[in-house]
Amino acid sequence: MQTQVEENLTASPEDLALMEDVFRKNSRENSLMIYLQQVQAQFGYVPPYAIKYIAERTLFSESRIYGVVTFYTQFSIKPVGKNIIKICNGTACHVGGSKVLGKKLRSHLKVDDENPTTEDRVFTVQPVACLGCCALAPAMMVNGRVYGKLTVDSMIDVVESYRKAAELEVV
Amino acid sequence: MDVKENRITINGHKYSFEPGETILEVARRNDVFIPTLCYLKGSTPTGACRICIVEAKGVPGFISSCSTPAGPQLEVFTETKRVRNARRTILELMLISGNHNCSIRDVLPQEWSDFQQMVENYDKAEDICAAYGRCKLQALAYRYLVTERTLDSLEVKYPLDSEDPLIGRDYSRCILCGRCVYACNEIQVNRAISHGYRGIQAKIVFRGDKTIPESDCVYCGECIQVCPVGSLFEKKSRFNARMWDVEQVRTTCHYCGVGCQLELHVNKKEGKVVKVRGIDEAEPNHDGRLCFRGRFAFDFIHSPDRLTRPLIRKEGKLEESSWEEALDLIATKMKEIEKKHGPYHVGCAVSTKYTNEDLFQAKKFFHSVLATDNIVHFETSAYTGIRYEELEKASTLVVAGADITRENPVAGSYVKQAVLRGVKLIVVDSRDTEISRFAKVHLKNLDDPSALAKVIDGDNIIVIRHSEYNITPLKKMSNVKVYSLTRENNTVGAYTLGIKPGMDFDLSNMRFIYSMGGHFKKREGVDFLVIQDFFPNEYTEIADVVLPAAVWVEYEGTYISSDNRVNRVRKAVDPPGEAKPTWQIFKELAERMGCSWESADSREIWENEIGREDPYLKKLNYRMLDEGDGIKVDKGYFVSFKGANTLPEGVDRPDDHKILCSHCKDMENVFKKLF
Repeated sequence: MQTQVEENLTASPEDLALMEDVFRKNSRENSLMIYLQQVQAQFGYVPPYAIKYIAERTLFSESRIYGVVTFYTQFSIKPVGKNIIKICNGTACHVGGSKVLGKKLRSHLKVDDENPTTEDRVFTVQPVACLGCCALAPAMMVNGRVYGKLTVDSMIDVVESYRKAAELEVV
Repeated sequence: MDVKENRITINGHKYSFEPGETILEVARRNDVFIPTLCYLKGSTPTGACRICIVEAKGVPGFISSCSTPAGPQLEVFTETKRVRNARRTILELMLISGNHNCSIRDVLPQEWSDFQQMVENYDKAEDICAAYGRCKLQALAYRYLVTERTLDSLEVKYPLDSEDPLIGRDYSRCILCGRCVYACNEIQVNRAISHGYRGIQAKIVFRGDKTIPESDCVYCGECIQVCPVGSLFEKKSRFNARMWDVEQVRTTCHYCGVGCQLELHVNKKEGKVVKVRGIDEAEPNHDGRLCFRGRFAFDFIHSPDRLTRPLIRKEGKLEESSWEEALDLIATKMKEIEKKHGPYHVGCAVSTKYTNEDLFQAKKFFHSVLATDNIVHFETSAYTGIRYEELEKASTLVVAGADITRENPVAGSYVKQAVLRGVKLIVVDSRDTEISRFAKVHLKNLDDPSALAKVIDGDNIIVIRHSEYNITPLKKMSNVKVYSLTRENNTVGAYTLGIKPGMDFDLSNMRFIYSMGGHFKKREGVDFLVIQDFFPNEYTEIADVVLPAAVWVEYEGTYISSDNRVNRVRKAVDPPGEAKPTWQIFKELAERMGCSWESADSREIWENEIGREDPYLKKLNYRMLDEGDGIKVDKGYFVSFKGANTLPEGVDRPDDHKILCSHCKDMENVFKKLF
């Protein structure tokens, strides 16, 4: 998982304003996880300049923050897509064929484990251990909404409906 | 608490402990062996590697002794069959986790050679692991007889990082103990290294998972010092510092005034210093801390550019000659000029890099042979006697005008550690130095003394100032202790021996100058100029005679560091060609001036002559200095000098550390990055 981060240490004024916001909201010093979660929520990932920004204002070094970011799957150092698809790999879903579904989904969106985000940044595919809705196996979750009893066709339909929604928004 | 209550039972014996002490610390103190890999003295225990596990009565499973505090009810067993078996399993798992190709026995020959082949393809070194013989994992594998390989080796996930010219990283041998992380973050406080990723992907990373040149690394090399395996290594000595080829010589660093204790690794076959390590248990640099200069900039010693024979100016050009000819010429000229102009027109400028014995001989020569006190150095005043252990007890720490993490990096690490332990740091500096990033308050100037008074707290204030910084407003306050760290290693020694700063040195008044580290830009009016140095340079160009001097690892001697500690300097290698120690040059010169000096080596000069002159140094003979960490002199030398701190006309003071480093391999990029 050697990920090359694009060297972008200078934030745009809008990004800086967002960062300032993160720090205004959290007056408690050195609550790294909270800062990172907010950054992740605001930017969709943790950009290098955010790491630098946090390091300058807290006791944490850049290398340490980088270590924390790469440790937790809730953070990403690469930009993620607008829609996050979580494919369940739990026991029930596995028995229900989640492996095949995952493979089909990735080939449909032209992504893989190394690069889980589509080029147009509409989708990011993340495997999860269990969504907790085994009665609906095999299942996936898109932006917090669960889709159960999937087949390859119904899964693609769901994904395409999101793509359409994204296209409409752009227009 | 009752004394009886603070007793722990280890292997059936009772040992007393201090509250808060871990089981491991109690065991170590009483010579009970418990193996460790990730444990790093002086930093937070993590219990990561599990090799220090022990059994305790009534406690299910194992407990890690490095992170469990000793308790009165604990009955601990360190080497039971269960413990040994568990350690064996841990070692086996570590050995299959990477390219540990030294000690895996009892495998089929074919399998063994396949494995060796695989390792060779990984690092292309065609050699056994560089850590062979000093690897802790290897030692433990032998101790616990881990000879079998019942599991398949894991695949190596990350390629060798050989981007950097000084530090190599071999991920295939990393056991993820985290010692480098704690050494970087908690001991040297450079905060460049961290754990990254997790589970099977886990890796030691720099910021952004970059290479070393792109990272925040400042090349202190502490990570190499603490690496228990062959994962981090000095590239300069990867395969030529084998344990069976090298001999260790303890000496004192010659760069700055901190006076770190070094362990020189001398390759006996080559007769060369091949590697430098810090001494873990030494003062002032405990935990083996060193800086980029001390650890990596040593190979100028063996540079082919070194001066190896005396040079004499003949028909306008400097030509090689013999010592006899050069010394005879110097003596003749000296007598001639002294006779013609008087001794006040003969002078000597010294660098405070030389040993006490060298400086003493030079002083004796000019004082007693020539009857002149024109012997000076160009270092500014210093408040000596700093006590590093005091720093973290200070209520406020002020660093004024000192780029401490660059000029005296090891002292800087103590300041940074004090900040991590909650000491308030105030930096007064017009520049944004690295230490200013750790400051609670950063004042750009001292124009308004009340600004400083406002931010100082408590009744134990310690000030570290650069010798050229005006701290008059601070000195007026009570409860303030002022220290400074000298730029050169032996400035305190020079002051102690009575060599004064020569800010009023009048070059135009001199007809004869002997320079050993004074740098003169011009020589108008000077009839005869002798320069002794290690390398030919722009300053030696204008000399009449150039003498090749031996460097600090080539003879015996002593330095006095900024904490008033008298340290021994020891001989590790022979000087190149005909280069000679300075004390010897002056002895031979004195002979030609008709004086026979008795002392035949550094020890005799120190014990019979320097001791006779200075009552404080009198009691310290070489035998005493050779035991342990040198000896602190409680004299409280206050080496101060009134007057301007500007250099006299015609004198230059280049960064001679940088000059020495420029003769070392691959130090250029380090300087570019740090300055």
